[in-house]
Amino acid sequence: MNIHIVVEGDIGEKEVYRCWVPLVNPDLSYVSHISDTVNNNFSIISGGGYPQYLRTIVDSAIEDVNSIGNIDRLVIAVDSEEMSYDDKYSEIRQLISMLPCHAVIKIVIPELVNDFETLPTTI
Amino acid sequence: MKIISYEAYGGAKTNLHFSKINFGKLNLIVGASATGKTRLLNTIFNGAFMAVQAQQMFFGSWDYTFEHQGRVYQWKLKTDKGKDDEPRVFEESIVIIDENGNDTILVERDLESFVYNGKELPKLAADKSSIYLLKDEESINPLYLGFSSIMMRRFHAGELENAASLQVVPQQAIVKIKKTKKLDDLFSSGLQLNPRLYILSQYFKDIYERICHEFKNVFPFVSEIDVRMAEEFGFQFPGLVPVFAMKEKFVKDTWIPLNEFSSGMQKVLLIITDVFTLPQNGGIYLIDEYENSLGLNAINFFPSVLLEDNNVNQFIITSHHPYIIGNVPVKNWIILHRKGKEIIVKEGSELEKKFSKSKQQAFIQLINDSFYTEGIE
Repeated sequence: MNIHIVVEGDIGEKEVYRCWVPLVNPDLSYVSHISDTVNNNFSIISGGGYPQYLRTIVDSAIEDVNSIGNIDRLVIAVDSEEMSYDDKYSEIRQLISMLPCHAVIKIVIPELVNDFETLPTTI
Repeated sequence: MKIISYEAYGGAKTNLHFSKINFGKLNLIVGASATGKTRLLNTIFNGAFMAVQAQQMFFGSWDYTFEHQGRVYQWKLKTDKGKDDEPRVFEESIVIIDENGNDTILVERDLESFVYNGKELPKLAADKSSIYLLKDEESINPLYLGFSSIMMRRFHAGELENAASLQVVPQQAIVKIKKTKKLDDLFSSGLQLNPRLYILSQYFKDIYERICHEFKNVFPFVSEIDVRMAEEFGFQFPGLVPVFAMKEKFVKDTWIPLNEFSSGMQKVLLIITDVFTLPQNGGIYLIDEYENSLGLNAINFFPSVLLEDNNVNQFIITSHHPYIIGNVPVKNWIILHRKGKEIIVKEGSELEKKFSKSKQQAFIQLINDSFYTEGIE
């Protein structure tokens, strides 16, 4: 099983998935670039906190998955931001609907309860 | 002049060690904040400053391998504290490297001796480089001229304001340029933008037209451009004080002087003028974070100006901007990574093959590369 993960955020989000994935599935080991994927590997591409890049990153990730050929699952992990879970899910579904992908696509939308970005600056 | 490779220790305010960097014609220095991009430019410029000026020495060591007028030279300089705690030359050497890699030593110098062309010289000032001291010697003069062709723009501490300020055109500058018709004399004149553009409009019309054309391309709302005189704007100066001015399409009949242009327009004009007036044998242009506080229209022109430039100039620029990084080929990147005081360098050519295996934009792949993201250890 090989997985490619798209995250939207800056360094922190990528680091969380990099640590978390092997905890959930210890068979998977991290590779720093999708082209290094061999067997039981996962790679992560981050938008670096530039939300305007999401579309091109997702499009390019699908192209990469299709051309590299040994990726079983593409995970798109994005925050819902001000949108509801359902609205964000539909937006991502629509984003990927035009592009056939050889791998199974999973959409992950973490629910924002009170993350560090939204905490008040004073208490 | 073109720098082929460079290594330095110290050379600016902090004692960073820059491992050997190979430079090409266009070099985009990238790296996380505080990896040493600005300091790299400062050390390159400070070393060059000591080659051509006697005003100030810096602490550190420098190792330049460079090409000038078809010859390859290596200049090594090491300074340290003298008796008065001020920087003094401790070791220095200049060699010519021929096409087979053989060295011919021009200068070999330490605290005890100063040998030039195989002959011991009498004691010379230890607070000046040998390039400066021997600049009138036939074999050293090309090095002096080469290091004189380096220009650096930092765009902070009022540099842009100074560049756009009013300045009397010195009569001797006009007399010299009228006589020599050499663009290099304009470069070395150190004049600000207004008098430079005036001289270009008078004696180098083709270049002036090209600058105006490029400027209007970037800012299509500019309808007219001219060099006017300061009196028109209510300034009274003794002497010739030209003012570069523009009219906008929708603000007709009002000349707007250069000092009232937006900072983005001033920067664009300054860079275009600098690039088009670099020395004819090739200059080196260092620019630190040009994009700061600029809108997209003022940023986007930049990569094409660099990529379309003739083959003789060398550009070493720093940037964090996705557009600039994305529009400079990966092979032209130099990525910095800092471990304490050690700056390790990765050349873009090392990433090119890996990046070509993905359809993600090069900038996106860069910000996912651990050498870049974990830029400071």
